[in-house]
Amino acid sequence: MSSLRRESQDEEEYWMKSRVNKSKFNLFDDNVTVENAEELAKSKKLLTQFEDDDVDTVNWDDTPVSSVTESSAISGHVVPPSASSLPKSASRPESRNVPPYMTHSRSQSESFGVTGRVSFTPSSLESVTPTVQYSKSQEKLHSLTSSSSARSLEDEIPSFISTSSGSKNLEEEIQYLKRALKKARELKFSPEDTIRKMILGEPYSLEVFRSKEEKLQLLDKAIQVHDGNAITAVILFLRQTIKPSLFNLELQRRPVAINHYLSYLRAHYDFKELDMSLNHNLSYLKAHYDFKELGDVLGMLNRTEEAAILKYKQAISAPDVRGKMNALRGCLKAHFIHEPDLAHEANLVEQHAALLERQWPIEDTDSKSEAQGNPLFRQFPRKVSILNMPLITTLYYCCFYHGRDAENLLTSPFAIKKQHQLSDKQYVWTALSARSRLKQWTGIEELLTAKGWFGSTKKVSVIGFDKVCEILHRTSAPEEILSKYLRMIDGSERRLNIARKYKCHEVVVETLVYLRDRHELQVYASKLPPGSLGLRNAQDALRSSTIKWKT
Amino acid sequence: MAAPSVKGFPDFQRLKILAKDEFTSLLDQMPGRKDLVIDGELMKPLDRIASVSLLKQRGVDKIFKFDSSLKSMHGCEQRIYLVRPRMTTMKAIADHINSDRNINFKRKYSIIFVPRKLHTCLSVLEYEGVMGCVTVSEFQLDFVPLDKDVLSLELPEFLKSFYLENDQTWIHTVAKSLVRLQALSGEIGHVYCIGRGAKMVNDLMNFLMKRNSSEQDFSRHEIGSLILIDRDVDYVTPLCSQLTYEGLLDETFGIKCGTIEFGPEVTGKQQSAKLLLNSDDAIFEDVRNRHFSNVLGYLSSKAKSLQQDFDKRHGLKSVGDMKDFVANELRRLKEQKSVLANHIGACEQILGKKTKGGFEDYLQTEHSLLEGSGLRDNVNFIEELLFKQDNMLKTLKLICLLSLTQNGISPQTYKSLKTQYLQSHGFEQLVTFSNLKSLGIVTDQETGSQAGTPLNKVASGMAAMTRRSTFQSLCKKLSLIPKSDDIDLKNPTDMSYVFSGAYTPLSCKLVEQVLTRGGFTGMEEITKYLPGGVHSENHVKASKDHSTPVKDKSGKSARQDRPVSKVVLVYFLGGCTYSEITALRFLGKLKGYIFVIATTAIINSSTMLESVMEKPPI
Repeated sequence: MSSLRRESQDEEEYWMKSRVNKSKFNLFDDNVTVENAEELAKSKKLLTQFEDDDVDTVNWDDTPVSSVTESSAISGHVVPPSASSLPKSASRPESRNVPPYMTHSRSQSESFGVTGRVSFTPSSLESVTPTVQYSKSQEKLHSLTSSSSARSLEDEIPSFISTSSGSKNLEEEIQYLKRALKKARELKFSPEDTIRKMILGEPYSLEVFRSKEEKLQLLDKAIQVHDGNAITAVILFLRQTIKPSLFNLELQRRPVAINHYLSYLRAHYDFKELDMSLNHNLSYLKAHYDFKELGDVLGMLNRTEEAAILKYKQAISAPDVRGKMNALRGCLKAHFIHEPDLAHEANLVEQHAALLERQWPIEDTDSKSEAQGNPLFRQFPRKVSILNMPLITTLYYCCFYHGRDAENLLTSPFAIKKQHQLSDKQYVWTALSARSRLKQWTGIEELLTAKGWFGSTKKVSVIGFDKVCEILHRTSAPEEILSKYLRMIDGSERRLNIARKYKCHEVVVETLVYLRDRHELQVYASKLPPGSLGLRNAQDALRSSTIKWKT
Repeated sequence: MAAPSVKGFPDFQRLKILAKDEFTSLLDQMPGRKDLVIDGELMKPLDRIASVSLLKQRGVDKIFKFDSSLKSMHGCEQRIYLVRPRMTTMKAIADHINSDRNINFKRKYSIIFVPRKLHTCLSVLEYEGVMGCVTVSEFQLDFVPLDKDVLSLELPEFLKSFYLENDQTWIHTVAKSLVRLQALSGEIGHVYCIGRGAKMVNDLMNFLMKRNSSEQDFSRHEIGSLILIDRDVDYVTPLCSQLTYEGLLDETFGIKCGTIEFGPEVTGKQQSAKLLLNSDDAIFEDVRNRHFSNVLGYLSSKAKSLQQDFDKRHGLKSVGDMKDFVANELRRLKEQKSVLANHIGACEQILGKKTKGGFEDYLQTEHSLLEGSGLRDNVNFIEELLFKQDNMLKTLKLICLLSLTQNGISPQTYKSLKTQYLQSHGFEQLVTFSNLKSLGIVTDQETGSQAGTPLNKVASGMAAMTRRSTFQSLCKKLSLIPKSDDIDLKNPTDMSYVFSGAYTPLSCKLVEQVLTRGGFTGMEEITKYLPGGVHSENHVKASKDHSTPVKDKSGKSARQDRPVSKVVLVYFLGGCTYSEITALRFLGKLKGYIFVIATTAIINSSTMLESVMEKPPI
């Protein structure tokens, strides 16, 4: 936009000057025109890209007059696009700024140099024989008959003015042309300039770059200045204009470009996803096409893990559980199992699928059972469906509602442990929490009992009895149960601390007696509520004469 | 503790005024009545720039929050979308337009991109066939001044986009923000880059700026030096539990664009309260940078003195005094009282949450991870959190720290922790682990050497020889872990006070080193451990005849001792935490620098991890 405005300023400037000059008498007009004619001849060479055969005919002699006609001929060839593009650009100024593929912005910028000409041609009439110039200007305006009659009146006026001022005009015109030429030269679309324009948010065109080398120069320049937007734009232009094998080859040579292409494909995939979720089936195929491309590029680059994770991500985005199970199995087979580097991931995806396959029937049965009024679910209503819950949550659920189920059933906690190779710690921790919540104290005892030698039993805990107590405390187990397990904690100091933490007075008193710490016991007893068991025990101990207190 | 002097800080209100003017003129481009549809994430930043009354004054009829799930929208016949440039957003806008067309509803549409339009967005508009009926413009809102010394781009997605996807789209925005800032404050003479993105920003900034260096008098410029630092240089600091008041407020309640919302549990009233947290609030200014242990005491003493001021009213002798008190004092006191009540309420909440969740044990584990001691215990602690299905973010933070401080986790432990994490928090987190691996935050020591952390890449060979991780080497070289335990948290003498004296933030320590050395000279032993390398440029020259910027490889920068060189802009790419801001403020006081902190966003451990985590289903 700004350049357009500048252009019109130039034009105005030109007019202002020419008006002033009209009144002046120019002494050196001949001299000037010859020089400028040479200039023009030179400039013509530079302008060759805008010229065609017409020019030769114009160039038939050396007179300055002819050089003027030449220039108007040039304008005559270039003006039509500008004349048509100008009113358009005036009517929609903003949209002009932004087209993503700037095909017409090129024609716009080409016309920058010459737009002013449309208006100045009438003034140059006086230096040429009116009839010749006339046809030229008519050519320009694409309106042969109608405008000629309309124009003739206007054109009468300048033709009365002396020729000398016309030469002055010529000089102005030449100056003007020089400027236009300079601009045209600037517009010789170098990759650098184009990238600069992109970065500055100015209109640009990529379509002028036809050779592969130039396109790659564009890409390299964009990479060099670190503008992601420009990089992506050039990549997409490349993808559109060169064949895939070449595109992939050049992309692979430029890691930065690959990253931007992948980033684009990801975003594009999201966009397609949105499209899909809104329009469901129509663009489904296309979405898959783009997704496939994303996967293919990752595959091509040997980024197998990324590709596999991508497919996994797609699989888990399936809205219904049945679809998700199928997608996971498919994805596992296609992308994980055969990759030695992804053995661990394959195991995890396998677990994910297996978990869903377990949750699905459990949910089905239990929701029916709940609807039928199973007392278990009435006593402890299910808050949410078990579908899509994590494995440990599922284990807890099964411990809670199906703790006694046989191992051959899907709901069996032990079967879950086995299938997912859960550690004893994971299992005990969860089972303990569930049983404590259910107040199944005997169940807890079973969990913590190990068969010893010769059929004897002993209490063991893989997670340590301090943690057992922590769980019991958290699930608000009664004090007697808590005390029972507190006593199993090894190390009297540790036991004491934990018992204090859970305010298990009995155990604290016992331990202090065991430690023969009379002073601490006294202090502790003084804080106990009157009439409590702990206080009675403490008082008994303090009165007792059999204890040898520490001194 | 009077109001700290604002002197020396460049005036960033100008940025606000500029942004406001730009926005107003954009609104005026569509004269008459119109609706404004705003991207949710731009709501708060816009709030800081323009008021609703200004919008109304400019013909805005209704304001909607942009919702991409809506297929169509109602409203008046002109509509402006103010959005971030995203393809999905474009698609939704196109749907709105097409649904209007289907019912032949004539409406004018304008899309204002913040901060810039992107090629991909325009292609979507073109693809959807709506390009012809929208006008497109840009609102170059970059820095939102959150305080007199904090500027934020409010662009949290930078982290994911740049470090995870290696997408350089936002580098332009960062560079542009610096160009625009320097147009106001004058060119910055010294530039120091730490990291890959920092260098890119500097390159692009130089490309965008036409430096006419010969004639410049840098002493009159408002900012002396610029330090650009990449987040991937230091992922450890943002993962540490914040312990300053402002940091804890952010971790507990979430500070959004400089404002905080306290629910009824804090205010003690029915309604919640919205507070603007900045240096204008004198009470907050006094406590924001304190270690938390030192906040409640201060607030209660403040409450007492406030009460005394209130009690003065009983001692008022004349009606004139009374009138004076009501007119001047009472209002101020009442305001202060309500602010104070909110802060005390917030402290109670923080305290409650921290004492309940086993925070002591957590913090102890965190500190021993930083020290690199008691590895087995730390892993056990993490496993226990997993058995308990304790907060998934909290657990993940420790796993991240374990990996970052050890140059990756040993293969066996890595597999076991990952499996257990997935079993406890959903297999979907497989994606999270993959992302964290790409970022180099959680890696397997085995694969670490091939594709692992940026830190690892630099020093894997070295670490293998010295048996010390990169992080530990940096800790030792920069003495990040203070030797003495007795840090006075009330009157700190060291930046480590922000983490209870357990750890000095690496990012801030690097800033300190660069400033005291005037460059990277003599820091080779340190910079070799930093991913992305370092770079410095000096545009201030003694003689005027050179026109090309002299690259300051030798570090012999012409250091100016004029006051301007004491103003330092520290720019965090990928976000920074309040603790880091606090540490730099402290460093400024200690060494006589005036720090201005710019960042792509203010983050904390949770927001940082969440941005790269896979969402649990449902």
